[in-house]
Amino acid sequence: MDRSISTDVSRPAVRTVRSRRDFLALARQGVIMLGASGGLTALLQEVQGEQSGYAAPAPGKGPVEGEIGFSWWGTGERSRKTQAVMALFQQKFPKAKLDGQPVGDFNTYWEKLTVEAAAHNLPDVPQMQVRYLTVYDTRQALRPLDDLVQSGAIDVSGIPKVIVDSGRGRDGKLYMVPTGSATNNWMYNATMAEKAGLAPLPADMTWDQLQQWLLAAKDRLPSGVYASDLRGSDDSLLWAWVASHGQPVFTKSGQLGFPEQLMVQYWNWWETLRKAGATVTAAMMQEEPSDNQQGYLTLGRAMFDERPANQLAAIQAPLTASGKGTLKLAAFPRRPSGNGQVLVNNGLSIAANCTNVSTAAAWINFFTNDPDGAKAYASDNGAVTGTKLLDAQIAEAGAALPATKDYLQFIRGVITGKPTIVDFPANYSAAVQALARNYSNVAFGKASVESAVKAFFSETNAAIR
Amino acid sequence: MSVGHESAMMPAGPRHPGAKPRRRDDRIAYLFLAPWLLGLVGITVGPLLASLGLSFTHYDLLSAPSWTGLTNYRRMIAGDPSFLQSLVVTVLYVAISVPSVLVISLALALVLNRGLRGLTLYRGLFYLPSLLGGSVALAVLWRQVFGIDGMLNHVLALVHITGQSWIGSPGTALYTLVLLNVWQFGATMIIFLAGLRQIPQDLYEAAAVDGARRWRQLLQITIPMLSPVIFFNTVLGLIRAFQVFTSAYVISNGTGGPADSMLLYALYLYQQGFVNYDMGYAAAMAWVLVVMIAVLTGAAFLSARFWVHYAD
Amino acid sequence: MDTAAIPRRHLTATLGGGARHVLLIALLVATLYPVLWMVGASFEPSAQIFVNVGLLPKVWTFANYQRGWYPMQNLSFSRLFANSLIIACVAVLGNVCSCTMAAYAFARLQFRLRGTLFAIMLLTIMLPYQVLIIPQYILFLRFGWLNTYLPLVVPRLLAVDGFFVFLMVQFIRGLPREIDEAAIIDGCGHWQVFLRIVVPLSMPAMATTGIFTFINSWNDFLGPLLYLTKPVMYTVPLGLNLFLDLNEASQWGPLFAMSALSLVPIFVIFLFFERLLTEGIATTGIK
Repeated sequence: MDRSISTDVSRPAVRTVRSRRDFLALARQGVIMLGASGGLTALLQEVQGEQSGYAAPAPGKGPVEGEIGFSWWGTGERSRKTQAVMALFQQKFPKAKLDGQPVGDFNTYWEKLTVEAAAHNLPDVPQMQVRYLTVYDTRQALRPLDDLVQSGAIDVSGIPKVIVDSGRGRDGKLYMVPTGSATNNWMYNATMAEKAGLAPLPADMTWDQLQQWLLAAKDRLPSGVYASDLRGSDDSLLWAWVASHGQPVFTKSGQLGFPEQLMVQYWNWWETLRKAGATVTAAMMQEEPSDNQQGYLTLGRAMFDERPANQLAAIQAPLTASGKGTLKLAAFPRRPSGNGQVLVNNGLSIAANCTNVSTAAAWINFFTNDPDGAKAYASDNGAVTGTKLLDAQIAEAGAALPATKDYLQFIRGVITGKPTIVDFPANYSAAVQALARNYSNVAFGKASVESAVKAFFSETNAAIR
Repeated sequence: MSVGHESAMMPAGPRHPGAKPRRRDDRIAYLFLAPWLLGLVGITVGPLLASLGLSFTHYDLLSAPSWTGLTNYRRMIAGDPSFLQSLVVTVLYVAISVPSVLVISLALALVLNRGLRGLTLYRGLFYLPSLLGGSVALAVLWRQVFGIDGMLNHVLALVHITGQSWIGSPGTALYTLVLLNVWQFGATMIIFLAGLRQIPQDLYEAAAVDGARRWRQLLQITIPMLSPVIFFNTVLGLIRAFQVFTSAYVISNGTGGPADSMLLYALYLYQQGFVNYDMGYAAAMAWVLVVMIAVLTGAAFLSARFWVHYAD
Repeated sequence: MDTAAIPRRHLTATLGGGARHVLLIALLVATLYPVLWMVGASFEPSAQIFVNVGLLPKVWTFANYQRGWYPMQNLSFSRLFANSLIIACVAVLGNVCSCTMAAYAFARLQFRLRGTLFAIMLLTIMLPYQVLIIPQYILFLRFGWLNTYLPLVVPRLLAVDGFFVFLMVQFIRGLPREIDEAAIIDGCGHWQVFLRIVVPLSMPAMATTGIFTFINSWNDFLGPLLYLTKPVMYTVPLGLNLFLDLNEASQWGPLFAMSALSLVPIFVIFLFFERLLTEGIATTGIK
């Protein structure tokens, strides 16, 4: 509040610089405006960015030297294995240097990557996943890799075509080289099922058969143990339902591709189980931690669950320690008319702002194909995509690591059995969030299944593209 | 914005009519302010104005923002039930946690001010929960207490009450968040302690000579002398409570809680910005929040005239 | 006003010293239970942590501390502690100085635009940081400050967090103006008034600012996450995050162990500053 102006009526309307004070005042205003416009300009410039992107595409066969940045997610164990592979690479290419930029938590990783991408400052080789790929490739944040594949800088011949294609963007160009295949599936405590006197799960079951099986289990399990965890808000399972009913999950233009009625049936399937007490309660679902050490399956509170296959060993360990049983994997129902198994692939990409493409290509090529590297990494982030490498690892796991062998063989089976590949749209994370929010409303009785499905469709379709 | 306490700050003394207030302070004032001004202009103002600009655009983080005018604001008012939900949840949260924190921290500050052995240790230990900040470990700890297998239910079982999942149920989840905020009262308590330290002892001695009892001293000396600090803690408590994010995020696993019962404003803002890739809308939400907080803060400053006693 | 505080005060006063201790300890145990649980969990093998319900471990082990000391190969927690310590100390020095200076201006000096600037300062506190993340990242990228500690330290040197300025303003306004005016009559300039009178009397506030700045800097996660890419420069919260993978298997044992350890330096700093807090100078001498 500037009282000097309010009390002095003789002041001229135009501000002339009549004293040092006035000069300072003007200078101050100028500096403030400069700072503001500088900030705005910087933001706009960076955001519009150098859309011209990289220089004339080099086939990536140049000298492998210099430093490139490489980011990944995962805890100490994953980091250790990653660093082992990095060390092998640097042995082979002494002139190149890999600048590792690990971020521990999965969600934190994507937060950081988003901010870096917004500023066109992605690390040269960011670790990627198909669920997030579309966000980056449709906004020109990643460099297409087809020319590198053609020139041989990156060799993808050992990878099944269906998996390589999952790394393609909407324009058909390859943006990510898949290095690990993962899938969600049923994981259940076979020992507990046996003790409860349940018939083994039919190999080619339908959703109805599964529902009956779980309802039967409900009364035969000891008190405090639930037949199944409640997974109505899990995205992988919804896609499995949709795919097994023969519908596309997403359309080519990035919207939901199946009818609302199908989803109503899906949530009703879960609600029948939940209301009968065959699943954990809604409150228990809400408070269940997302990491697999504290899940109900791991703690022996639930017999049946849906989990990523590559977590088999990690979940089995505490169960073995507490003597609560052995886990088995089972595929999602294929009937009535489609394969319910959806492959989610992890891989490596090259940032559009990368200036050292040859080294980046060499690193990706090494990570994907080198036998020693694959052995050191041991399929830590999804089953290794090179078929020969995968077979070698299955053979090696043998009897010593049954959980690992089970999981690798399971994925092998999924890959050869024509898995469903989902074309995840941009802003896919919005769909995951809308799913959780609306199912939560259903499970707590705050919304009917029909209205929740409507809300899910409108929320999701507004955000994804 | 009118800074209400200014009238209480008028220096005493005769003034000529039409005279300007002392101006010779200007230069020295700006010297003292130089670091802060540099930070304001160089670091704060740019992003601040950029976020305001973004609120009138559609910005999906990875491509250039496109101008959309008032669309974001219209959507907030007319077409977003989750926005209203977040508003209701946040107001409820603020209304309960801010007074609770103030009362508890003031009470403990008074108890731990003097006259007790091992004060430093007590203060440090009560402050310890605040030191945990907003870590993810906090979610685990909170579940250990309020989860379905948590300590609270074990204690209740001792008196034959079956507990429920306190953080998983829509009716109680928000209150576990409130408790978390109250649990970290230590920081506010430290500020009160510092304020209490500044009250001259001779005031109490004079009052004791006059025969005033302890609680009368509290009313007539402590509270008025402490009022600038109480004011500070109230205003900052309000502002911070409206902006709470991390605890809601970690305890609800990022979802906003059972049936959106923990969907605090800042959490919904984050979801819109970083999960839905709709940063323009998030920026609009941010500035609407600023306006709301500014109105409340302005009201607080106006009320300060009546109960805040400045020694100058 | 805080009428609820009065009955409680009355009650504890009449109960006498011993009863007060009992009450305080009971409250302390309830308050610290989660922290105690975490410390107990840090001595349990990871597989046991969520199985064992009590506070005390059934099986004791130091393995979590040993494993946790190296969140990554070639990266030890001593490095992370050192990094965090350096950043925090510089931040404290810078913040205390610049905030106290700015607060003196707002509280004691008359100048044009005082109200406006004060309002702007409050405004900067009110805006949620989520929308500032990306513009600020781009700003620091433009300055060329990525991969350095500058984005973490310079804002504190320039009193960017208005919380502390406002805090100091309220404290300084609690000091009687007569002291200032007496000194001015004696011929002191504002700078001397500031250094010789206001600063010594504001020790409790400055100590509080120091403690909070240290803790904010130590616990800051988002800043280091975005601006630091080389693990050798990471701070403690980033190191702790390397134990987390909420989608798969987090390493809870080492995480709890290192979190517990990480509380120790902050606690020590608190105790150190707290002495300054308690040695507040009463104004009787000055009169």
